[in-house]
Amino acid sequence: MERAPGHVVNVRDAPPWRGRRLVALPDLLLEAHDGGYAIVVNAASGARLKVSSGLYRILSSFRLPRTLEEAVEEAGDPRIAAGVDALLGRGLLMDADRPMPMAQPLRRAVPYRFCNAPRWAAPAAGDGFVVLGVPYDLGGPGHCRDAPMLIRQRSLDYAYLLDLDTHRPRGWFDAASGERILKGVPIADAEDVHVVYGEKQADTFARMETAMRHALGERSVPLVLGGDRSLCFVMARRLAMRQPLTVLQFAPDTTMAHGEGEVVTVRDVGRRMAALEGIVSCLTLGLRADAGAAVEAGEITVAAARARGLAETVHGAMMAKDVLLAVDVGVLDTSMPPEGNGFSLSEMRDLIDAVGRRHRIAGIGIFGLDAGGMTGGAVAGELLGIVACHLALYAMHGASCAWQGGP
Amino acid sequence: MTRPRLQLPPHGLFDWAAGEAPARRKGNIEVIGVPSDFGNAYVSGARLGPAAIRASSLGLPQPAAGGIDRGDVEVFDDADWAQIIERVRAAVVDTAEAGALPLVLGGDHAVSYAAVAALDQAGPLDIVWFDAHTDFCPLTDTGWHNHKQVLRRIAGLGHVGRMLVIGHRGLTYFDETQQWANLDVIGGGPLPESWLRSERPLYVSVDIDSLDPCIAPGTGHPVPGGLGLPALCDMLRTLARERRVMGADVMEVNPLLDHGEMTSLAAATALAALLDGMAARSPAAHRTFEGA
Repeated sequence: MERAPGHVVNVRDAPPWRGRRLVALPDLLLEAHDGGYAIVVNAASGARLKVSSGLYRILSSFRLPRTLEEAVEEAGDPRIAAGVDALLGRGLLMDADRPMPMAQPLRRAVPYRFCNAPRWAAPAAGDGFVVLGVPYDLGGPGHCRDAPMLIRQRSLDYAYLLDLDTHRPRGWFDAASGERILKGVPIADAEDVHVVYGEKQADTFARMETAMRHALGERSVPLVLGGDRSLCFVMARRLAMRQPLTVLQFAPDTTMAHGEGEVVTVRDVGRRMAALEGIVSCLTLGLRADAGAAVEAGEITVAAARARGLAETVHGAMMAKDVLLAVDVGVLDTSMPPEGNGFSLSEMRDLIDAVGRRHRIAGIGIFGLDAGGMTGGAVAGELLGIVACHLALYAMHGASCAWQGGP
Repeated sequence: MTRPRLQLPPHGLFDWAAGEAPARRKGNIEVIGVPSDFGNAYVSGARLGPAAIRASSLGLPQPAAGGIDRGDVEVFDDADWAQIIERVRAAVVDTAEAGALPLVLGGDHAVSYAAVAALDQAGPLDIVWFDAHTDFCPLTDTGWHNHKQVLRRIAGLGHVGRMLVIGHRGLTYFDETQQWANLDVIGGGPLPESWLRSERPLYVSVDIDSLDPCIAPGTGHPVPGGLGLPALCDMLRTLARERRVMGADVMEVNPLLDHGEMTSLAAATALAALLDGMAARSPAAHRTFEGA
């Protein structure tokens, strides 16, 4: 059935579609019609096609799947057969029983770039960060698909500027340390992975992994803006191909549940990552007190981490040199006055700093931001967007310390 | 000197009388609104702050100190920013020369320059600056009056003594290194003891972004991890009780970014705390506004 554009059909041959059911594309709209021609718009692609009135009449006969004989009385007329062939060739008709595979784009454009950093163009040879949004939230109950856009939007308050003399990034001033961080560290935004809601999770994950493979240079560190934390699975699988990897997750509830089936969820992502080749260890930090007896091996509550000391907790865990740092923003307590059952932003900064001092942060994921106001309302969503920007920049600073000789 | 013309609001702050200052003004409090956000090059909307703060203040109990609301400085969309500053300065000079205390409602934080500049007869004047940012950036690519470098401009005024920034935190692409011998920067309370034991007059400026965005989301550059409202009120009350406050302002309330008047209500609450502290220091002078 596949024909090159412009293919000429010999009407005396029996066309390959003869006897098969054909159907007009479901996304077609009639934009204009006069006595001689019709303008047909493919609403899915935006493409406009001009066809003769005769062809349009044939096309209209295939609103429902049917064979040519069922659709048109003059099915034996070779001009009709030529018309059908033309419609197939122009992609307006398709085989109803063999739908064409939809070629999905790998990534899609976004209205804002993280910190207004340059758009990613090609894998970089040197050290640097590549930002990739993944608006996927079907691995858990949270509404996180708008988070990449919200984080990017809020990040515009933290603009990525270049020094006019050196053309190198100026970085950001950190009030806590009184110093500039990320000075000279390049960042590029590779936009969003294309997510089709309703397709298999494995397909989305494969697309995300391909996008990471395309975008990352050998020494690039990905900053993934989720999405829910099930996406961490893809990051771990990809990054563990480079070096043995420890996954350090900050999450408010378990990630070590026993999963069923093939779908990776926010509750079992830790257990599934631990089983991946190249993963040395998988640690989850920041479970709330009410996690109680559900705390599994490799999981540490906020209270336990505080009791032991934040840096000691991080340093005491068995870890590979390379660490994937994944933060579910639900681990934070952003309430005022603080309720105390999550880490404060300053505690998170100290924890990330502790990781960066001893390990090489190979990837950063920011997950679990409910930007839709379903939990906590619009104020909480906006606040978490700002918090996510801070976390991302702190984590990038922690990662860049390995390149720049320590914090 | 001709009194600057101010536009009367529909109601005064805390439902105080709104109008021309009476003949006897010494020691009383006079509200001056500045509906301008020309000093914030990135986010507009703070020009609506004075009206929002006044509206929210109507729902609060009357503070212990009373005053009069003189209205808003005239601001035109095509006005030269320097002229707005000059009109604010003239309004504050008029208040200060009469012995009254200016309470300025912003507006963006660059407006504070005019208020402090107008108090040059009070000096040397200490400044307490509640803010998530130091506002001390050495900007070269923007207007002289910019809210990111207003404290740097204020530091250059001859009558300004020590400066204390409270609430500084977070990340910014500006340069906020501490660059002045007379500038102290702290993240939060308590107030340094040395700042409570001084006979010098004091100017208090509150950028509402010193509060946590949970409480005050309606501002141009919110920064997480900020002060709680009780903590801010407590510090304001203490400062006003312990120090001789010559003037004060509340800035950067942006109703366009606010949620349910949270931010303007927080601003009005902070002002009420400051006024309570002023009344506690000098009850007779501030309890009522004579002639209002």
